[in-house]
Amino acid sequence: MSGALGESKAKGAGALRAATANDGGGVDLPQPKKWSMDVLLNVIREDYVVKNVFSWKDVARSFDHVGFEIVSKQQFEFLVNALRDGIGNKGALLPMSWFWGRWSNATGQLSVFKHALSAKKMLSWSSTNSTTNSTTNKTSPVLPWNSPELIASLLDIAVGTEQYQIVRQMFEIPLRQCPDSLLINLSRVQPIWTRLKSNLIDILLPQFLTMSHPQSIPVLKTINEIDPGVLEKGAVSMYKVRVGGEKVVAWIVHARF
Amino acid sequence: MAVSFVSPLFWQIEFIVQNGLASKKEVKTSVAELDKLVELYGHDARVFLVRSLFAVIDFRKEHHSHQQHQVNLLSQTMIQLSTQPNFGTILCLALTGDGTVNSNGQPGKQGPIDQSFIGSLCRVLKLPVPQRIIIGVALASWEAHDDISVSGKNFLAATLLDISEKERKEKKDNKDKKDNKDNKEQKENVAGGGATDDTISPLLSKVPAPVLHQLAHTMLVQHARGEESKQGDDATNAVLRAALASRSDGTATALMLLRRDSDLYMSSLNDNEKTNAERQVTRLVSNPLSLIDATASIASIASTASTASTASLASLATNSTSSSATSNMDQLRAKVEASINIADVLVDLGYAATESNNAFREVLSICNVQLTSEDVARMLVAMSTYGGASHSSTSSRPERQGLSKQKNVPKVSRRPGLFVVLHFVVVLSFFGCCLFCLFFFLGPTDNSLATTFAPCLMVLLLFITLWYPFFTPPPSPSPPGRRIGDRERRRGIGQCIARDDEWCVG
Repeated sequence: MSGALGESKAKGAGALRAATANDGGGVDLPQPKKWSMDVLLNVIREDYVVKNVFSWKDVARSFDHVGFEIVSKQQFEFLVNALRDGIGNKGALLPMSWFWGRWSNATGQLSVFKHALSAKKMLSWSSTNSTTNSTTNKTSPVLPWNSPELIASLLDIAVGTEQYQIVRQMFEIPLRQCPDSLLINLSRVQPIWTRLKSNLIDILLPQFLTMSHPQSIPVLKTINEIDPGVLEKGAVSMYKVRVGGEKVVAWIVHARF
Repeated sequence: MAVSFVSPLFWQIEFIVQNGLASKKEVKTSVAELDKLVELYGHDARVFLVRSLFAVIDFRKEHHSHQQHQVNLLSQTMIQLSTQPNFGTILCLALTGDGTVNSNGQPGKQGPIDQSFIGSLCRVLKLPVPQRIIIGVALASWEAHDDISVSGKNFLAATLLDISEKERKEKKDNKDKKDNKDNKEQKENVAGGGATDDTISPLLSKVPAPVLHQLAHTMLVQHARGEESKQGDDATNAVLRAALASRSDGTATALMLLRRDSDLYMSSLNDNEKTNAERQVTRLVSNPLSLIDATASIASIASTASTASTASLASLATNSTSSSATSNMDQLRAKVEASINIADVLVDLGYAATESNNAFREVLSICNVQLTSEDVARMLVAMSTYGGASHSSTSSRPERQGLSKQKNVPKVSRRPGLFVVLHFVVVLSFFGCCLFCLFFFLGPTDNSLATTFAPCLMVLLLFITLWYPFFTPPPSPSPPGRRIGDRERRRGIGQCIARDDEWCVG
């Protein structure tokens, strides 16, 4: 019904526009060939954002509706560029903190993260709502997998059985590239134990407990400071599966030290 | 409908109707081809087929022996179409133009559409009673032409009168038979009153409920206006009441409640003070959208009217009903307005919606929408989905991204048929001939026969090769059946498996 009404409204608007544009002269004006994003953003900014009806963060949050799903890189870039232009600062980074949290449309949220992880340049993974350009910011940019909020959001999505395998595959990259930061941020995530978190820690922790990773000692120390339960549980599970009790005691001594 | 005869489809349909159906030998193939064309090209082809048949058949004639096949096809088509909800539209479109009525209301070559024409139309096509009623109702509600509407109403009244007479005769015969068996039962039946019994009308039992609803509404309005005689009024009332009694849907119940105390209620309608009440009640009855509340309202009217002894109370009840109907319409309008999605409007409008700031503000003002963040999000998603430039040079309507590339659209695989074989034969023959000529021109032997015929053959084959692409058949239309949905296409799971006669998503 909305489609039909939309069409009728559209016809009326089209007729009105044609009448106002042509002035009855009968000359066909050139039709636009694509959307004018500037027009849309200007009108929304002037009529709504400036008047504090809603903000661009609210718009980003409102992507959480039924049926939303990003299916292509072009679509993702279109939306990100729209939001970046809406913010108004040229070269600004889109804060990914706008997309964190629990969405009712988990599929849509996962599609955002999936495309965002492959397009890191336009985005800010900082926990704060900073939209400053990375070139002006002297500190090194925050990598996606250094963000506990991203990991928490992904773990939350993976609670649903449908998305578990997809999220698990997304974690393959940090498992290979940055296991240390992934393990530290996993230990920071609450709630403590989910199925995927347990699975990932069971994979990661033995690398550090067996000292096969060059950063084993600092990582274990950090984890021990954040959540000692992670170390204990990992050590117990390793003891059951792989090695004898003497080494486990040694690991705990190292870690405590 | 402005029909363009440039279209080969319409030429083909008209040719088959005029020539193919005229000869006995080609009837089967012609009907099969028409079915295929209608199946492939849908609504427009069907309307044009019916219009062509109307244009060919002369309904004023008594005998149609030379047009028997056209008459049979039109009869079958009308019976088939009469079950569809858009039958009235198809009929009106078919009658407008070549057949009987011009778009400006002037009669066509078959004369004006009056009651006699409708009667002869039904008689020639040998349509059963339900289809006659449907045609009458469709024409009676054709408000663009008042004369046709009046003719349709008169035709309906005459048809209902015929039905009531037929039923009266049947009942009389049955009673006569029963008289011979049992005298006591005869007396009781006579006391019951013949044609006004609320027995099920078998002739109207097959009429669809919406049509019966519209028929009752049409006849109710006509009775209230006093456009029919008292005797015909009673007869049609009896038939309608019997038909409605056989239905268990809400419409029939509402109308039965309306008619239960018909003496008081109809007298109030027939008074000079009736106009407002009549309009409100008929609008209420004819508006199926307010049916749920209307049923309860009409029941309250009927109960109020039966207990009260004056017509003023009935009119008061009717006025309350009108206010409730108005509130229902307001609620409905509010629901419809709430269901308008600005993103859909944007897509419907196309790229022109964002041509300028004023144009976009104009769109928002027409839609009477105060944008929310969710609206903006939906608009952005719609724009990202329907992004990019249109491929058509004239259209400014957006196209869904990815569809133009046809990545996942199933391709119709051509089997190596006769044309492929012919193609290879022609090409190989051409090259063979070239070699043949080369050999005999440059060779040591002097064969006059070969040197004479070989160049001719080579030229002939060259001519065939050059003209061959123009003889290739046009690409066959895509096979009917389920296609990949946009949602599936978006998700990129459109791995298509071609089965025998349908396309499905694997």
